[in-house]
Amino acid sequence: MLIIIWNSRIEITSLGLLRGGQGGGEKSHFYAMMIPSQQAPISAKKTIAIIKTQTMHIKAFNTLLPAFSGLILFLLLALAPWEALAQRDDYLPSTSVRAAYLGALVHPGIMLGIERPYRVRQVDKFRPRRIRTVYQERYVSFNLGMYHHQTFHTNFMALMEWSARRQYAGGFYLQTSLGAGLSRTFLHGAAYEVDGSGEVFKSPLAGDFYALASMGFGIGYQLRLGHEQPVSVFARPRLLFMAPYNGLALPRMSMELGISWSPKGFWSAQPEKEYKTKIRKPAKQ
Amino acid sequence: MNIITLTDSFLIISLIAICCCIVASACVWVSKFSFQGQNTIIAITSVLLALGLLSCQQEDFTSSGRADDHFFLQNAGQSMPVRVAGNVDARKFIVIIHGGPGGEGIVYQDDYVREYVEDKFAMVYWDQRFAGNTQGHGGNSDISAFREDIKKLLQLLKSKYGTDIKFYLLGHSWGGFLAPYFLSEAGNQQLVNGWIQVGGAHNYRMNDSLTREMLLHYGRIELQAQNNVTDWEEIVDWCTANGFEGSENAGTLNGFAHRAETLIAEVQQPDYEDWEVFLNRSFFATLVNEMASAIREIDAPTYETPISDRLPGITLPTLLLWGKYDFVCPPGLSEDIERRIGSRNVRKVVFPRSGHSPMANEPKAFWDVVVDWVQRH
Repeated sequence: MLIIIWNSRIEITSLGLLRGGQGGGEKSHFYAMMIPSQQAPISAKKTIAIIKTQTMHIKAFNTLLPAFSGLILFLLLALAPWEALAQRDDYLPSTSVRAAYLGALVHPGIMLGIERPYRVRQVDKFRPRRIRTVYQERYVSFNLGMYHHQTFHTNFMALMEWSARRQYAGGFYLQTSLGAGLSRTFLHGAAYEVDGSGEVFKSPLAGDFYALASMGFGIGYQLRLGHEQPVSVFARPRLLFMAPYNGLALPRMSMELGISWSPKGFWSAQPEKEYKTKIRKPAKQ
Repeated sequence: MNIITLTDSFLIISLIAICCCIVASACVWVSKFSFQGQNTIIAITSVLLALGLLSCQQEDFTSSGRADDHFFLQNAGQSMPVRVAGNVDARKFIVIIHGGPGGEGIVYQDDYVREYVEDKFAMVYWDQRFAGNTQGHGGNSDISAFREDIKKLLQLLKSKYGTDIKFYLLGHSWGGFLAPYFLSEAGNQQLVNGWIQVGGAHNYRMNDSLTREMLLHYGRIELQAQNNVTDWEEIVDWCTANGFEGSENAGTLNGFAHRAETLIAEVQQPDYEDWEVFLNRSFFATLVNEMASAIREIDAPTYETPISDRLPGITLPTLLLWGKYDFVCPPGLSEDIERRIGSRNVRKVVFPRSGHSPMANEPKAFWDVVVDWVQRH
């Protein structure tokens, strides 16, 4: 059994070989285990350069098992997801504008907004044969939206939202959102009041203000990861509550289907970035 | 494409354009770009906003021919939707006072009504306060507010469709309390030309008592015939052990009454499927309003306000329509009206295959009677 202990972030801290197993007849297994430090990450190219320049380790390694040095270097290159590493090292979520269709069955609407990241935590999950990188991102967003419900009302909304996003290195993400805001409805149809003498008056701009609460859970695909496009698409069922609605809260289920765009240099965000690692040891043979 | 569709299309396009403009303006402001069209964006936004909002408030009243008008009556903190559909040339408007509290008016507009009744008269589907798709923060939920709403509704309709139109109040269930409650107030009968009472609860206390008696009566017959034994045993046992007094007993009796209707083989079960109605409604608003009505116990004061004593004051032509198996508001209530009402023009029809909602159980038979009676008055 070969165990390579490698620090993917800053340098190779140790590189060793263990030939294990009981008896001599069993197959040899090679494992690459990468143990990162808590320091800032470096690119894959720089990591290769470090491998080449860490003469002490390389020399020791060659002394130990010169015949396998090429193979081990090959394994390092083959097993490590270099492209993902290169991307994740550079990746930072950025401010984006988004537009979405906001509909409930046959009642159309639109939601437009600006979302800005304020924190991201990169979690590297080390598995025996791969690294899985997940970004835990936090956003605040401001949204303006409306929907039109035939015979009921047209509702304009301003919504401040907090979102937690779990972004996978491949591009997919899951997101939950909680929001609060204000809405103003406009009755769909003319509204009339009748006074005590029976005279009829038309009520201009009839409707009500309501406090708004929102919950959403959705999925999306970030084209920036993998496709180098500053765009993501998303689908999110959204549950809105308007209150006080006759002393209670009126729920409204709707589906948001939209696109989010991060123009270069637009209101550039510098979210705090943290790192975390999770290591799963290889199963015992 | 009719005017309403054009208006709606324009409204939607306007609203989308408004949102785009607002976000574009925000982007320009946030990124501090020097942008010459900033003022143009603000101007376009303002114009579209004004047009969009105005189109929300389009006035649509059909003066002749077939109407399908939708508008709102606002009173005491509530915006209540009203739909007038049908032949306005007949100058006869049947105003539905729906059940509940917390029901909705538009559910009475089934296919048969749309094709047959609306061809002859105009139907008025009105959602009461704290009911259906009525909107608002709250407001007065006292029964006197409901009475005031009916009066204002009739005044509004007269002002928009002409003072020569005739009104026929069709009160069903809880609406069967509100209709005579409204008519018994001084001067209100002058606004109306006829009263149609359908399975109405004009006397809640008497209603509960009759429901219990009817459940026991039919329960014993059904048990003897070995029909739905488990259900009827439960109902009969409960009714034997309990009285009708008190809100808890009244609630249980009401639940049993609705269930009993489904246990009688003679009752023609209604078919409520109507997707057009469903899609144009806010299901959640109806649900929330029903809950609001229950929490506010809107019909609780009816126990202290029995209409029986006021019936001698009602002199309008009256049509009493009851399902034979209406356990919810038993036919005994119609007998009380017949005995006490001041009107000499009273007709009563009992539908043999109906329960609490004969318009749903036997729609053709029911509406044939209504159409014939309204045509005569």
